[in-house]
Amino acid sequence: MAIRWLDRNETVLLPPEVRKKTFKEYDMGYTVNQLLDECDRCIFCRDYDKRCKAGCPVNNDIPVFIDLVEKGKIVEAYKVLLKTNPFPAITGRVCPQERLCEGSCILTYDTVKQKKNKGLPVGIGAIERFIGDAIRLSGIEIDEGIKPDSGKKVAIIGAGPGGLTAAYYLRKEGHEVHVFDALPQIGGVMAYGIPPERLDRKVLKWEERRLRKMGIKFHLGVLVGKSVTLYDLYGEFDAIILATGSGRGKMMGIPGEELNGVYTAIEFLTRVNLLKAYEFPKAGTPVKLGKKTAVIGGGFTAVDCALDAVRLGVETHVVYRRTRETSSARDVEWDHLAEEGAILHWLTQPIEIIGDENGKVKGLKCIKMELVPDPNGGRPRPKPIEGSEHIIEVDSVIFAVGQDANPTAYEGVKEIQTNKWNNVDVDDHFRTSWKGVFAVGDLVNGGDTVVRAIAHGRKAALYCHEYLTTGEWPENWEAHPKPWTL
Amino acid sequence: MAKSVVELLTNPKVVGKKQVSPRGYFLEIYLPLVAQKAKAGQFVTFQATEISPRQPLQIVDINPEKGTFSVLVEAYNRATVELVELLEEGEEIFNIEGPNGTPFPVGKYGTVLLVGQGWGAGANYPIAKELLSVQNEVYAILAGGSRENIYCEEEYKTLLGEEKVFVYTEDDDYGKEGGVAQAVEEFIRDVKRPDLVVFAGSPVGGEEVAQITRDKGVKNFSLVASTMLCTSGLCLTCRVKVGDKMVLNCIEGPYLDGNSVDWKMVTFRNGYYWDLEKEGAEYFANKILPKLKRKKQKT
Repeated sequence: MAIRWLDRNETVLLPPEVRKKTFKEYDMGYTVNQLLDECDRCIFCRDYDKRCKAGCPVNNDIPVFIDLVEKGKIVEAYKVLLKTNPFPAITGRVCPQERLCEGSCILTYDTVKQKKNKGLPVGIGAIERFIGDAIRLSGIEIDEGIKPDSGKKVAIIGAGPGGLTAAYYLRKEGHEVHVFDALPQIGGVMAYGIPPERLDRKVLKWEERRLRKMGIKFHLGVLVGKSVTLYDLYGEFDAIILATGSGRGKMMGIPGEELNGVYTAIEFLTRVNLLKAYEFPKAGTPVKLGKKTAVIGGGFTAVDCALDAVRLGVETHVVYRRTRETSSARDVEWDHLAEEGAILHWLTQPIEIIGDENGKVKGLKCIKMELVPDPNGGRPRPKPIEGSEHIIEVDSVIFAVGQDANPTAYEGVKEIQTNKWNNVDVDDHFRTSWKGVFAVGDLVNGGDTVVRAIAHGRKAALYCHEYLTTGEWPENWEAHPKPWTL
Repeated sequence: MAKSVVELLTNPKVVGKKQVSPRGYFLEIYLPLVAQKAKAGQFVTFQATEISPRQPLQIVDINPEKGTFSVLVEAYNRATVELVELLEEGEEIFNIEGPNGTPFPVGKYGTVLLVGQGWGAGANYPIAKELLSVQNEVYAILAGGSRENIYCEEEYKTLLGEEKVFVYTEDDDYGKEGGVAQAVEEFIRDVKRPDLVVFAGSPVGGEEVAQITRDKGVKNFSLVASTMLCTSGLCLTCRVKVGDKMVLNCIEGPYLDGNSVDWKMVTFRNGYYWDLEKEGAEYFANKILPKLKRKKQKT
């Protein structure tokens, strides 16, 4: 059969004028027919472990589950996914697939010969999402295959993607798993960060029910480091997995950051996505952007902030010092935002927040930039263009310019070695310098995707299980020099 | 033997609710983890329902044997109105996080003057106990707009002795007339110069007191009531400028070096949501609460 290079099925999106008024998911996913037709586009490469599977941070067996869907065995397909990824309905939605599995699909890029191909990749993300949703909506209870009680107890600090994944795989091995989180809801960044228009909270609730049914115990409202210390837990548990993320908000250190109307991305997203400020005054937490807002940044978080701001009915300006092509968010998301009416300012660097006489934001002073080649061969560097200062009139500013470590859990715990960013050092088995304590996710790599944290969670669970079984710990522990590659 | 952490973790439950003024309530909460771990000066974060605002409240009293602790809630905004209206004795609470913040630096300071403005009197109360236990000479000022804003008067008098407690109201309907600044000035003039002033209350009051302690060179630890959101060191909402350093109040506070705090910034930032807070509280009182009450009556 001829290879279907270009006739990729695209998921249905709510039209811009509809979706910008609702916090409902705007990507409707595949219909059944689209799903089956898209599965038909996969050519089932024999060396897929060098292609889509290698491009996937959790190494999903992609052609295997696609084949099972085609054969009408969607439950089996889901089970194949669970071997490597406990939350397919989530990653199917939030992964940047075009630079992971789909970016390594032979139809678009030959990872073996390292050359571009003429086609569009198989819609792996949407297929994965469909499988997860199908099981979620079918009412079928999947037997998670939990082994008999091992008698070992593990504490997991942080109920985000890394922590929940580690909890899932450790519970499967029969260990007693306790997950601690400061916030009242599980999910971490998937609850307070990623907006509901990209990840329906019903999915998260369903996953929570699954995990609770498996016997994982959640202790919400416990801030480790304050409510209890790691030392308290160390004596009580056979192993600890730190998965507290690296989610402390960050600003740029420009004048005017103390003004009213200045938000960090995390404050803004928490108000809107976790505490549902979009339902104010029905929900009790307000958010106040005024008529116009500026989101500073060019990453996923900036996009998420802008999606929320547009939906709050606010004129939204995105301000980024580089270009669209050099931004780390997905190209298609900038298209979506532009369709929804957001105004995108490329090569624009904020230099000062201007306040009015009442100390409220009234504008963002910026300077235009140009990209110049990096003498060291890195990404081209933005350089200010003299005399190009200008003011964008806004009532609020949201900083989505990266994140800092939140060391509350391990501050003052001298047994745990940290690096210059205050993140935790681990070896190649996710072991920290303290026997029995592991660390995963953004806490280790400083800031990456949900799926990277899931990958860490699964591998760490494996090594943790090994430790619980053998008790072995290296005598000459050594920090991995490049933890972001783990 | 000390109980394990896991044994201490239960769903928080209201075991006592006592109204002490038109807007003031004491809530006694059963949550053994907090009762075991909390130290003077720490706070807990309440959330009444999944869509309620998160509200930090100072711990006023701790009873580790019973596994309970108490907080003083003065209903003045959406979050606190929700708490006093929704939480009833015997019922579980959606979520409480804590104990949070850094314990008060208890030590031997000499003469300590505790200044509690409104609900701040409750916040200072456990600190009074701790400071007494390490041989400080402790005095307390309880100040408020009116008599109904004076809390814990009896408790302070029992603890410190009647002659060491001074009550001030701004409208002169109880105690002496005056605000916190006047109270502190008069104390220094008529009683003695304290070695430490501990303030808890509104940022405006905090600034007034800090002006005096700075002038007189008196050490000052003040509870900084900056608006908080996540209370777990992520969001930076509660950030406070102390000297030239930006401090996360939810982690390093709430008692900070009052003489170095930029009080104007706190007052000013806290005012940002004032109009929406009012709107939210009114909506709750007029639209949500009547429905909930009708529902409750039916069942």
